[in-house]
Amino acid sequence: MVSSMKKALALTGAAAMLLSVAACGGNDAGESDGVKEITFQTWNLKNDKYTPYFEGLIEAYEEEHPDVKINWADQPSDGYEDKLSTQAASGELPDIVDGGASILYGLAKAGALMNLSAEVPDAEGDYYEGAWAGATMTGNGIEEGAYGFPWYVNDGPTYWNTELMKQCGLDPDAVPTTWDEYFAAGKTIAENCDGVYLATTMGSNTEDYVTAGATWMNDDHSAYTFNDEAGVKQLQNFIDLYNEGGIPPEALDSSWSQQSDFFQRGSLVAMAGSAYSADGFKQNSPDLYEKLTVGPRITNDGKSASVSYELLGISSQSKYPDVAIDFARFVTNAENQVEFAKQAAVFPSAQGGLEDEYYQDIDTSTLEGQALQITLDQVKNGYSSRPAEFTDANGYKYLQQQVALAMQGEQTAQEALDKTVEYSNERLAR
Amino acid sequence: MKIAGKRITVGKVVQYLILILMFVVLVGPFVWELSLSLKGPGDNVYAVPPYIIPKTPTLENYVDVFRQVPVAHYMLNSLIVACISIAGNIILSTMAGYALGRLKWKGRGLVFAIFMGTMVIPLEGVMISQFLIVKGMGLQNTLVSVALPGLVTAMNILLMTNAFKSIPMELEEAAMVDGANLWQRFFRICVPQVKGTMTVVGIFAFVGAWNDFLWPLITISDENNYTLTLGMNRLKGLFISDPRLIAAGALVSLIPIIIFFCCFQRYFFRGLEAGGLKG
Repeated sequence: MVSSMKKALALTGAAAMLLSVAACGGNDAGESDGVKEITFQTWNLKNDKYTPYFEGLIEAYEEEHPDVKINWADQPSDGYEDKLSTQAASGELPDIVDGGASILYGLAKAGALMNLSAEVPDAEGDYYEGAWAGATMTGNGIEEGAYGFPWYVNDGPTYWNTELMKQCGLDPDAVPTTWDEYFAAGKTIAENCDGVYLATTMGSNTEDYVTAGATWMNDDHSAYTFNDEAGVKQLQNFIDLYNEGGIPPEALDSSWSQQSDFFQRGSLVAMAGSAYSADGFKQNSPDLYEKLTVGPRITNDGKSASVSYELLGISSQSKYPDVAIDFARFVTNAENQVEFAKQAAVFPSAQGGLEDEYYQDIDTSTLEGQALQITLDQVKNGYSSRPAEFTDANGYKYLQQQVALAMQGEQTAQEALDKTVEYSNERLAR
Repeated sequence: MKIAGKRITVGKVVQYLILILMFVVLVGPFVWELSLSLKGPGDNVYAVPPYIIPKTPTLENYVDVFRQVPVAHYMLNSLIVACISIAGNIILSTMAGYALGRLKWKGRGLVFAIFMGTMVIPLEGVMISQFLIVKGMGLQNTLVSVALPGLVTAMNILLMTNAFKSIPMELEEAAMVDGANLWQRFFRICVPQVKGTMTVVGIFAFVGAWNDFLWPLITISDENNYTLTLGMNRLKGLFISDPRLIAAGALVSLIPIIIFFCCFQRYFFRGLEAGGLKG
């Protein structure tokens, strides 16, 4: 609660001050002698593994465009939103900024980002439909359009611990794929095993509801609708699962971040992970890695709703918007995206990227390969269920708190979702 | 007393059990980090039950930390910031503490209340305006700007004020009779009485400056001016995090703090005792 308040405070401040500072001149980008200098800011990507990729990318671009100089800035893992809002408020937003839709939303609303649909209408065709939709923001004072070029895409399978499945009476060759099967598996585990939980999934994410038939938001983004019948029923299922002992009580704390530790210690049967998690398991818990299998994310309609799109926004105060746009499109073109996706076990959002031969013949003899294959199918058919405006401060954290209260029996499922809808609707208009 | 000391009583056993328990609780996580940082790729980090002695011991994680992060460079930056912060806090809070604790002047209560009020304001609320001020001064992206907002903190002023208040009035009155002026009373009579607290202030300033993350992140954009906390944050990978590497990084950043404490610990304890009135 406190941290989301703080973020809201910082964002409001950023929005308020942006206009006043905008007048005082923009970036300190270099000029004269004909060299156009722009800054490209990524988030936590400067390290042993990816630095060579980005350096090569920038070198290739600068070679083609001798009059352009790209400064690559990379921000550390923590505090990124705070950094961005200060940059925007002080007129120092880099020309190109990396961020997810809900991170860029605040900047877009404050007028700090370009509407790319208006600025470069032909770009839309370069990306998959779902990706462009993921970058598009609308309603509540935002001019409809995409506020970032779609970059890498992330999603992942459900990892299952086969040893625990056998111990607790489940068939490791038939992992649950629908919510009915999933909740039934929870019951079986509770009956047969002590001290073993099914997973930490508990209705604190948008996809947990949308994949069970709930509708998150109305079409014109003017109101949330997830307190519908399907949504409430789904949360009730999670509450029942919690009461049966299928969810560890630690998970109720929304700041708790040890899902993966729990899974790797063998306390959880399943975990919703990313495609690249398999590699982490191999490194950090080699014994467990041997016993793992993967299945798709749990969903009733066969589509994953947990696909997330990383975006590259363009500062509206950029001195060389054409250069910034051109370089951002270069970074996000199919060829360069596939190259990055291969290294990071994420997926490309540019048209043709998923048709690359790398994805046609994935070696599924390893867990990593299987995870990649399943995620590939999800990314192709799936979508992002979390609207950009459902930011941490404007609903997401609140949802987690209300769900936790419902689990503890302080309120009903209906009350929890009603309150969250009311809370987030109020914040939509701001 | 002496006899009781040599006998093993139930009380002693309980006393030592509690001491051992505290030792395990306080030192346990540190030992765990140390063991984690020495574990190689063959070790199961999440093994149940956990084990302390690495099966494939290696220094590779430390080598990696030094290769990925220019540790010496960032440590120097952190030290510069810490030194500015220590000097600022000791000098300014001692002077402020003397004025607030021993001098009588109009508006003293109000000024004191304003100082204390700043303690409850979270950085997130004033971060942007603070940054705009620093930018207005042309200092953004410098190490001075990192140290500036923490140059003197309300907490340290409070500590010094209380320390000065506890000096008996008679001491200063005696000096006054001898003809000492205000500055002489301040330097010769009062400051020597609060040296312990000044050391504590210095230690707080050091630790605060050393561990600060959010403000340096906001004000520094150029990687050459990164402090150690910013640099070490890079070890957290976006896609896959290696807990061994993070543990090694944490221990490396801890070394200067440990050295600092070893050098100053006697002052630290003396300072804590000096809180009460000496007879």
